[in-house]
Amino acid sequence: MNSRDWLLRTVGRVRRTEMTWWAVRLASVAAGLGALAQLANVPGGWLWSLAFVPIVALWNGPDGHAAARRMDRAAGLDGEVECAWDHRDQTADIHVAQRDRARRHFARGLSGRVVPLPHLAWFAPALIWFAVTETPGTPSMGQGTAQGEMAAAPPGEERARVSPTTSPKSGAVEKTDRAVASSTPRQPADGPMRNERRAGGERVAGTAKTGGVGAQAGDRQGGRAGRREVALGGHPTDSIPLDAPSGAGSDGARSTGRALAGRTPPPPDAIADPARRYPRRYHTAIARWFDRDRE
Amino acid sequence: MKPEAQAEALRESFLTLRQAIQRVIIGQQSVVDGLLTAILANGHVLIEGAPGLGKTLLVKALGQGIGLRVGRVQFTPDLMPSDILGTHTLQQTADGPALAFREGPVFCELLLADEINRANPRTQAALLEAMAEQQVTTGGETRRLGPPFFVLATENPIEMDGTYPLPEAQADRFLMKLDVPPPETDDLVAILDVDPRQALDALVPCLSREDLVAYQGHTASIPAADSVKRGLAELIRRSRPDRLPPRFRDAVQLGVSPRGAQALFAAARARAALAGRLHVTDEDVHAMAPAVLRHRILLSFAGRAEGLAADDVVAALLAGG
Repeated sequence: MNSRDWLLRTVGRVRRTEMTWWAVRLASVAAGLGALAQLANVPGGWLWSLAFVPIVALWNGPDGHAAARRMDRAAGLDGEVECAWDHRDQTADIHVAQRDRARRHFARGLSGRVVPLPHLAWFAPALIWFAVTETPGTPSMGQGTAQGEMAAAPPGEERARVSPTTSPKSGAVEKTDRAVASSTPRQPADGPMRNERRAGGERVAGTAKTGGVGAQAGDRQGGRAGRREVALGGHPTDSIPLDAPSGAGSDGARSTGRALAGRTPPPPDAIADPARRYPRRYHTAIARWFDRDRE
Repeated sequence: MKPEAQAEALRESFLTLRQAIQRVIIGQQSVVDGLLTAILANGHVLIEGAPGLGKTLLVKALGQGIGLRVGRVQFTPDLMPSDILGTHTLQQTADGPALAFREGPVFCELLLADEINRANPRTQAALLEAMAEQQVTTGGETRRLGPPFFVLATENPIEMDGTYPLPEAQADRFLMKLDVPPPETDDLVAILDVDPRQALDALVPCLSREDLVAYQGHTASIPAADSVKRGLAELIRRSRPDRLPPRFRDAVQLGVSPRGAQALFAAARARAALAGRLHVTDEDVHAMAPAVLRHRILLSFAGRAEGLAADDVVAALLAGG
């Protein structure tokens, strides 16, 4: 093997080794973060980012110059290998001689590994993560969060679905989806929304003063369903458009619809501000004005 | 000869030459090393020092040690270009009288230009072509000088009355400027025991002209890593007044030219060759920087008024400031 081939092979090996240890260090940092997240009960959705570890290692890995410099340091040379690397494709006599000399001096001066093993401390985070994940009683990733606590209705529970665009007064409650209800696992005593409670076998929004128009969580995410017409006091024409924040077709809006199913419309005065800031007759007048074409 | 063997032979030869010169010149090791480096880099040297420090003797010893033809010109205010380059004279030949060119002292291999700053700018400029292109043009004819051809010029910094400081263009032609310090006490005691004339006569050439030219070719081909070249370029770039540290920004009128960068690289190569190496290091560049850059950094009036020297600026550059 001539000195050029030796140089290419050795520098390549040093680069690969250093990249490997880079990856190990990055993985160690990721494991440390994972252990912290586990202890802090953070959802584990970020774990997919660990896939970037080898990419970052490759990206941050040394180039040929850096590897050659590392070889120089390891052998106590003053830039001989780096110079040989920079002129690896030159074929003049002096360049060949310089490469030969660099090879000899490197072999003579090398006293240990060119790329040392990572310090043992680098492996500690991985061990901690392993310990955290394997210890009984440690909360699993995502446990204790709203998502983690959200569970389905008990088997056999009937659920009603309301089309987001229809009014409860129109009797457009769809058929009960018994199949879905029966196939869902058992749920805890409380519903997925903290402001819901159980009443008569169905889930009802706990904020009764909002008239069941939407639980708060549902309102926050409400879409088209946020704009509902609710019958007031048995008067079909006294419907009031209740505006909710936009976000068409979200789950929150559907849960609001479910909450509305089979419910007796609340008395008009139960509708809270700001939807009803004025006496009822004003709303009636406004609603009639908007419906004047129909009339 | 193979580069490896040539590098070793070069190192041995110059070590022998250095020891031979130091039998004539006591002390002044840095000046001797600088001279040998410049010779190997095929560059001219400006030597500055007070009278009586052995500048002329040093140049003579070098010429004798290498076995070169030495020419000497004592520069004076009334010296004319033809006194250096030569002139056409009417000579009697077999075919009758004819104009013949009579070579001046510049036609040698090692020219000692003593007190170069005493000649007028016109005469100083006569050396420009010889130094830069190693040729002389007179009467429409161009004549080659060397190889090798070196100009070793001396300056006396004390007696400045009636002198003409070298213009920047000419100063830039010198590879390096060496300051000759006064000798230490021990050196001075040793000087008392030496008869310089006898020592000079006893000096035998340690190097042939052909070897020297071959060594110069070897030196010019020594490679350097990209990082070393980049560091050198960065050093030169930072010598520009707008890149200097604030302390020196107003003190410097002119930074180092690209020719200065080439000179520094050549000197660094020569230093590497003298050490027997086949590659240039950062240390070579840094070691040669003061000698190569000090006459290329032009101080402004404000800088001179502050008492700054070009060496201060170079030191700041090397310190990374």
